[in-house]
Amino acid sequence: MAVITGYGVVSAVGRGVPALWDAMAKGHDGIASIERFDTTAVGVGVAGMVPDRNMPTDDPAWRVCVEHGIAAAREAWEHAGLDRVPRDRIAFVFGTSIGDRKVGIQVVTDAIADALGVAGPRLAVSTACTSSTNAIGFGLDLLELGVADAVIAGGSDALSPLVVAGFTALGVLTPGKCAPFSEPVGTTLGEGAGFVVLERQGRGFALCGYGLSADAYHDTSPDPTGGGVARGIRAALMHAGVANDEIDYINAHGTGTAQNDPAEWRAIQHVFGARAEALPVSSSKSFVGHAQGAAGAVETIATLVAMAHDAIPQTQHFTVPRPHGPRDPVGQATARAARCETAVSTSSAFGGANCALVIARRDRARKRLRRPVALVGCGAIGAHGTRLADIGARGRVPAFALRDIVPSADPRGLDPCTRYLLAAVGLALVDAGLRIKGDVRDRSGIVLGVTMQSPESDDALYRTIAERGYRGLSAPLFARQVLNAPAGTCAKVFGLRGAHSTVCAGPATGLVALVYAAELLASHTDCEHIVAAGVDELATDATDNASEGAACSVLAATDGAVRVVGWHIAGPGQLAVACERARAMAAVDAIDLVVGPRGDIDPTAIVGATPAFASALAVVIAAQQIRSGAARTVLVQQPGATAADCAIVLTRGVTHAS
Amino acid sequence: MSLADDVAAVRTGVALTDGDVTCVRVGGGDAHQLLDRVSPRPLFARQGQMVDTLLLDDAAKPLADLYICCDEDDFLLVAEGMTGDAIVEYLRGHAAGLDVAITDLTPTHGFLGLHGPYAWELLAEVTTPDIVGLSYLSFFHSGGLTCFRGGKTGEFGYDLMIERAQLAAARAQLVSIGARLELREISLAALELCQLEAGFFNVRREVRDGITPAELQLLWRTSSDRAYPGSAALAERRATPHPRIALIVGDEEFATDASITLDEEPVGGVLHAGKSYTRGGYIGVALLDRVVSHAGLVGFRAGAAAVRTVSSPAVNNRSLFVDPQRHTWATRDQATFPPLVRPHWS
Amino acid sequence: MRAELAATIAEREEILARLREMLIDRMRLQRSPDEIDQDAPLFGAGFGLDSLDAVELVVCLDTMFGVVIDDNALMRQQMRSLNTLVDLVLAHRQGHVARR
Repeated sequence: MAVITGYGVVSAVGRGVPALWDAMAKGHDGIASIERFDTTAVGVGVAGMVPDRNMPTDDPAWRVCVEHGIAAAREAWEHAGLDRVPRDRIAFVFGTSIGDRKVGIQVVTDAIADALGVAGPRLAVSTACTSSTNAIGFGLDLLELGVADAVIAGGSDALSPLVVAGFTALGVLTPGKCAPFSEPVGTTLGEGAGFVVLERQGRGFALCGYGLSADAYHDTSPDPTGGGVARGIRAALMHAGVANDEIDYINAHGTGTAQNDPAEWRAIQHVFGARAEALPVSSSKSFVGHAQGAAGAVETIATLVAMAHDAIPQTQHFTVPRPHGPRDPVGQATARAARCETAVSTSSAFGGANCALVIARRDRARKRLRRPVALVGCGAIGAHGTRLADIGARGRVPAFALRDIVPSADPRGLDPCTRYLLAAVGLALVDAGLRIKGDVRDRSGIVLGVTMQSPESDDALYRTIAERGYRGLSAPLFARQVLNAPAGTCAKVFGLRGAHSTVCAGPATGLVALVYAAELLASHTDCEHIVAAGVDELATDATDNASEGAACSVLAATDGAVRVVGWHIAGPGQLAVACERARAMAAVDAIDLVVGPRGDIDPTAIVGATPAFASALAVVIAAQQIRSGAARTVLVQQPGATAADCAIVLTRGVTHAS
Repeated sequence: MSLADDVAAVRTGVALTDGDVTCVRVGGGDAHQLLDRVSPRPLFARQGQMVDTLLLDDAAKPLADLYICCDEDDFLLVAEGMTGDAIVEYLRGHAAGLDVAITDLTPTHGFLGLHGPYAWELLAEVTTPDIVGLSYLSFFHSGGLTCFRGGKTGEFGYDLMIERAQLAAARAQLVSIGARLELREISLAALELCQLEAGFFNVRREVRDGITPAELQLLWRTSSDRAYPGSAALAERRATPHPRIALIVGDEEFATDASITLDEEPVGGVLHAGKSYTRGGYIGVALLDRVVSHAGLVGFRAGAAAVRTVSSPAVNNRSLFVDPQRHTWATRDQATFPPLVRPHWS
Repeated sequence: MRAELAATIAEREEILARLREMLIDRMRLQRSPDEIDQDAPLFGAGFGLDSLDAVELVVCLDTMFGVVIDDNALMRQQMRSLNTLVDLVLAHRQGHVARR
């Protein structure tokens, strides 16, 4: 549990929290004509644009995204009074779906973090429309882990012609103002930023817990039964230690599309049963639009600010209800006066990711049960091929038949990044002797470490735009723009319907994915297995010296032959701190071997400085060393340049004779 | 018993039929390997998914039209055209050295079929409202029944596998709950006419000696880079000129096995003919010389009847326009649907 | 063969060939052209195209043949198979379907 000691927001209804409350109290929305760029040859021309940036500019979208982010984060900082906290004890967790491959996500993360002066870990979560919701949850995990004393978590996104064109192509936009749960069907895009400050004590509402899940259904359509959303909400309630009947308000994802709204309602009915009929369920997208990666944070803050005024947010533009939707959608122009004690805020994304947060008025200090974590299998595909014993080569992944490794996967339309990930996960599951089947699917998840979308898919998408204009962009390729796309495909193929996330942390990306997976297993009891992987794909014009590949470890909430006993993430330039804290958590006597740059075995010397693959491979190498008896306890360390320095400790476990 | 009304129920409402399929379970550690050996189509399927494939003899003649359904560690084969016994024998013939358990479920399990644009609505009441999430070619277990979403009429179609002891009671329950939806119990003959209208392959009627997936426009259910029974014969047939089927329609009656001529020249014959209650007139599957086997051509005669070729399907399926998230039987008149027959230019 | 018939057949063959190429290049169907039966269902069972591919297909019809599909019903009816797509392109060429 954490206290939300501050929050800040930039949205379609203006800058700052007071503007947001003003709009909710008075019934204004921020949907307007897009003026920043010409939409005639692109798509639908209205969105929830941040008003004082809705004019033509030379700034690329990522710079606007940075600007929104800095503004919102500063407001949160001031609100919390973070000047009192040492900078290296402040972490920044940033959710975004900005996907400018030339710039890279870390540049955007750093730009905001540097403006704030954050010297603790600076991490990104990129899971499309759940990015900032997930970032807030991840922030909670990091706070409880002791990585920081204050975490600024949330997200930012700025609209671009590409996003407008993509959503237009998918046919999910309404030409006017969206009316979630009502008519007309369709969503309205938006942009903005929102951040919360999480601390262990202080004054403010409580973030009690959060949950993650995957639909494992389709690239862009949600599971119509709402199964994925339901799993996410249940996981959040479980993590928060809150019962169903304590929830008195739900801030829904509520995009207004034909597919999301009924599925989401079904999920709410599944989780809350008969109580669902009386539960107020509203969608803030009705007044700020769909701020994409920033949506979760902006909407959570709308909930917080309404709660602070003894109100709950409304669903604007609600007229006639659709055949399947909430009985009480708070369908009115202004916020409703209502005392809400405990709320759920939920988001869903392309690729099938879902994330739910539980917020409460009063804190409820709970001792979390921490569970052991073991590495039960691993696999890697790279220039060496697929056999772990052959690891040592550098360069491109040689041609391989995915069918030989994952017989059930149809290779049609899979980009290299996705094929490598499927192969590595397939190999790791076989190595673990693990069949994901039956109910185990609901408790098996994936955390992917990746720093960009597939170069092949990205290039192919821009080729279609060059040939046919924005109106002719390829919808299937647009769907591959979100960084969690390979994870979404993986979840579908292997039935991984549990916790689901995608993280970026510069050169430490792969290792941070492992740490996140370990932390989820240790502290979220809905998780039983998580495959943690890092994947890098080379662009077709990359130099011969560079490498690509994917490495995966299957972690489980058990004891085992290889135990994961300690982990830590520290700020840039603090590798020693990360290692020392990981060792302390592990409570081991001696480290026999160090894997990582400046260690006994350096994966970057083997496969090159690949941000996700090398550090994920480091864990695979460490596990192999323990299994072969060459070492008892191994420290894996990875400096992460401007992002974070990371360390994890593995040790030989005692396997019980069965 | 009116065939016209039966067909109308399939096309606009909900229809119940006896099952016309059989089921064989394949388990064991090498189950996937065995089925990969015999299926012309690679088995890209995860749990709950169905692959629409065939069983061929060594001459590449289709023996069975089947769904291979991935059920955790096992596979369920839901087949038409071969008895359970025959399928078991066929599989055993390829199972040398494999760890497999093959069980014919025909003695213990029977089937019912539900077809029509509102078939899902009846099933939602009988199984679970979550059936809206059941994609085409998916299946799930619900209580004592297994529901396979396939369908050969172009409408929502479900094959329900039920233990024989419960079959009668299940049928009665469907009829009882289905009354609200004006459920009609129809004959398999009517279902077959709907299948013909949809241009779906009918393994019972359209196969002859010497015919392969190449003639039957079923190459999509095969692969050219794997070996399976008949793969060599099929490759050979593909490399040589061969006739190809097309769907034909006409106002005058024509019969199965009638000769087909084009401008008085013989060009083929009718594999399967029947009356089309949805379009009016008659419809058939014709095996034609490849050069003239195209949709949209006029001037043919099947026997004495004037016929022309059309694209498949020959009818416009209402189910394409029914959205279980928005439509219901009760409010069906409030929805506007396109006509059941497409404009003449198609 | 009648000249008119031969011309119709030739036109259909030409459109079919271009559509098959489109499926292989744009939709990344891993099939040889003659394996793509002209009456095979494109969506669902046949080649497993999904709703995203449908969007791409609509764009390809526009850029390759100048056929604009903005009627949802028309789209679903005429995108069942290669043959129905050919019917649509021919109807467009003959003026039966509204032009842009």
